Amino acid sequence: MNSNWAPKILATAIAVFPILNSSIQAQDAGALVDKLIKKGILTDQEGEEVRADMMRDFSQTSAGKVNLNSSITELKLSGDLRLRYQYDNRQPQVDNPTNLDQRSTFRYRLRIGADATLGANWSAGFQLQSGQNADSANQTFSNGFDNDAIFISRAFFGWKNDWASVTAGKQKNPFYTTDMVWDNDINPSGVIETIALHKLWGRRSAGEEVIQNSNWELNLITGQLWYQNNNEFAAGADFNTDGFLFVEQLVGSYRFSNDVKITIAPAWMTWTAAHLTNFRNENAYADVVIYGPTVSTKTTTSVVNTTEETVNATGTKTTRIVTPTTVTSVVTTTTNPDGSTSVNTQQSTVRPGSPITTILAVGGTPNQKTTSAKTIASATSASVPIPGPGALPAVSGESRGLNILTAPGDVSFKIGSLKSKAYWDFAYNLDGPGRYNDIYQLKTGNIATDSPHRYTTEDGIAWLVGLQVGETKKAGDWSVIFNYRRTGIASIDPNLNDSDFAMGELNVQGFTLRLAYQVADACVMQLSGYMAWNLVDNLSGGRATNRLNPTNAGIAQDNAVNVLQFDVNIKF
Amino acid sequence: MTRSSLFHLTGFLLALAPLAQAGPLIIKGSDTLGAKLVPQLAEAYKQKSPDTHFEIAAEGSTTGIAALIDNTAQIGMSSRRAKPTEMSAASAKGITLRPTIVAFDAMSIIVNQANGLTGLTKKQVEQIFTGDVTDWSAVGGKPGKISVYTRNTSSGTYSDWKELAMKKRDYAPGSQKMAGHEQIAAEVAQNPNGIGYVGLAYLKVKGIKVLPVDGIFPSAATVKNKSFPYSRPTFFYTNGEPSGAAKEFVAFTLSPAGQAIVSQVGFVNVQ
Repeated sequence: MNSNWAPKILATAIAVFPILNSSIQAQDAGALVDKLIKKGILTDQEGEEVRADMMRDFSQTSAGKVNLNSSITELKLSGDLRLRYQYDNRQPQVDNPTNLDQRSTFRYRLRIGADATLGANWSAGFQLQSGQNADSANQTFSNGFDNDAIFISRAFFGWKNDWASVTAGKQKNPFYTTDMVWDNDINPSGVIETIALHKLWGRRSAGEEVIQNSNWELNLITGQLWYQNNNEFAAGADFNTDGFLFVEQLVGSYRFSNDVKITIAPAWMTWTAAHLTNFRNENAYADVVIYGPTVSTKTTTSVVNTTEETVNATGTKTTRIVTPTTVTSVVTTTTNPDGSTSVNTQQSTVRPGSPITTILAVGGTPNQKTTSAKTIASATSASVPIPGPGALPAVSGESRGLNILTAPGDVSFKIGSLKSKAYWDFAYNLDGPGRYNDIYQLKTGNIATDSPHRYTTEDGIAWLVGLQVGETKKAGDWSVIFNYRRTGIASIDPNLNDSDFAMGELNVQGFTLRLAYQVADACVMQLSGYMAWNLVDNLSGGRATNRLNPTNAGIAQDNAVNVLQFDVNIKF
Repeated sequence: MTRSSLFHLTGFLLALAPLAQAGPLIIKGSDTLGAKLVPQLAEAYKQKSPDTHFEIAAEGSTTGIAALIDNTAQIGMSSRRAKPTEMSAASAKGITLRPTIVAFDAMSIIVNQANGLTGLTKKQVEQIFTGDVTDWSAVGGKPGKISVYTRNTSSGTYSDWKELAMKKRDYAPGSQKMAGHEQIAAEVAQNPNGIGYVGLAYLKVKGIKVLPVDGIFPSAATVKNKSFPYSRPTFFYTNGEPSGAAKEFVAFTLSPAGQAIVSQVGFVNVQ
């Protein structure tokens, strides 16, 4: 072969190489060019021309036209789109055509994001999603093909080495948990640190050696999260104090064999006291200023002249004009938080003295008496509405806070070839009595007359047990998830828990059943059912039942909530 | 247009052609090449072709390739290869970036003359320049905080060094960025704890010492046999095959006379 042809053939072969396999970039062939130069097959100049040709070809590809900042060493773009049909039913509403608590909705959720690796230690990323609520990015298809807004759901940067990391901003939830405590959609905001304690203890010195192939791991995860932003110039201690959530969690795991592993992750979550407002989560809890029914009175005072005409048996008519009479009418209107009203009217009459005039006349129908009245003056006054029966005293101070211990965990194993796990969660609110008695202030039955329903230990405890068989990773995979939970009304934060089970309400118990099948590597179809009913029946009043003020929280507003969802989820 | 007027217009354009050629040869880009080598090549070339005027601006490889793409230079000096995005930008403007290797260089590790070290490994070089190691005692030297000197970010050497010596990692947070090789050499000569990298042409500065890497010193021989780990080609980029004065100057640079100057300045010739 003519030696002049060799570089051209090689250049062609190398240049075609990346075209045949688009995942290989032109630069990857640089090592091959170097090797050819070292072997004397190409001169340095020929090698350089080959490189330039490859680079030029690569620059014409889609990937070659993307100009990334030189600080980015890896960029991952990802997203998912979920279409959902949802039916939910809330009792005690009866099944009838006007039942507003039965809904069928078609919804979607879109999320797109980018994660960039910035060298060995740094990273940054963001995510955009179709909903504003922290616990749901769903949008409901409605109203003449309206368009929807897009929101920032993650924006963060982080630093890490081989045993620690710090991430700041709005980020993916790093805590080991279940949806009993944290909704999967929530991306907490703040600063979160992780320390792989097992790597620290495994170090032999300041050098780099760590113990390999250990069966146990122990990680510490701590978070300082921004929970509520208040105006520091507002009046009132809680109104000008920001709310924070501090979380400390130890995640320990031990692997008994390749297929069997246990994980236990106790955590302590502390919310600082602050005025809570503007939460958008499903059945969120936030403070409101006015609670209970309002009562207003309207007093009308009228001066009336009354004329009586009496005809006796003989046809003699007597006309009598009564002296002016003062009539006072008091109308008391009670307006309930749900908009219903009740009206009570009381009337009193003051007639001073005897009739002042008597006139005798003849005519008219015998044995008949007629009376006519004419108002000659009237005045009305109305009162300012005042809290009525069931209104609650204002809350303040530490009773707004929560102090929750959790202990989720799982045992993973295989059933045949199927990855499976039994899992659980437990939560106990150390400040449960304060949250229940001082904040929620619930009653049983009639809010006007019943005495308060006092806290019991069950109100401060939540627990969940579940079993998962299979997992969806690739086409043909399937999974079944079943769990049962009980969540006392004062046991967890109603602003963090799952928005699907009982529509985010507390004071509930019930089942979740979820079947999933992966029809393609990018597509999962899923059917989910949630059946929930009350732990304590007939709670009323207070700040948690939504029976007193429709603008207030509804975290315990139903006796039963059933939800059915069918999802088609595409990942890209 | 009549045949006679077409004839006159053609004659006029032909008459303008020499005027267009008479403009300066504009060369922009790498400080590595533009600080010493190219000015000396230009001086020698002017002795052969006195009518040629040069405009040389040495402000970093990035500026040279950008100038070629913007058609504000005939030759872009570069101590690094063009990036895919630069290739793409050039193609969009109908420019074909063609590299011509004019010399080889070796980015040499220099320390202060007083530094007692006798050599470093590639791993130690990476650790020092990324900040993994911040004290000389960690690499066998006398205790003292290491002062790292690097080129600035528009320099091709800056990015080349990350690729050749640092596995593309970031420079140490406290590294000091210098405008040119001469400044790096001068700073290291002044600072007993200093370390930096410079091209072969800048090793004769007083007060500095060259350290071998994995036992290999930078030299023409180790560059040519590719045993020195931090050697690299340096380029003249042109728009396709060079033409006119640029073609003549590139040819002169690659000629024995030009390559002799390359060697004199301290680079390794391509012959």
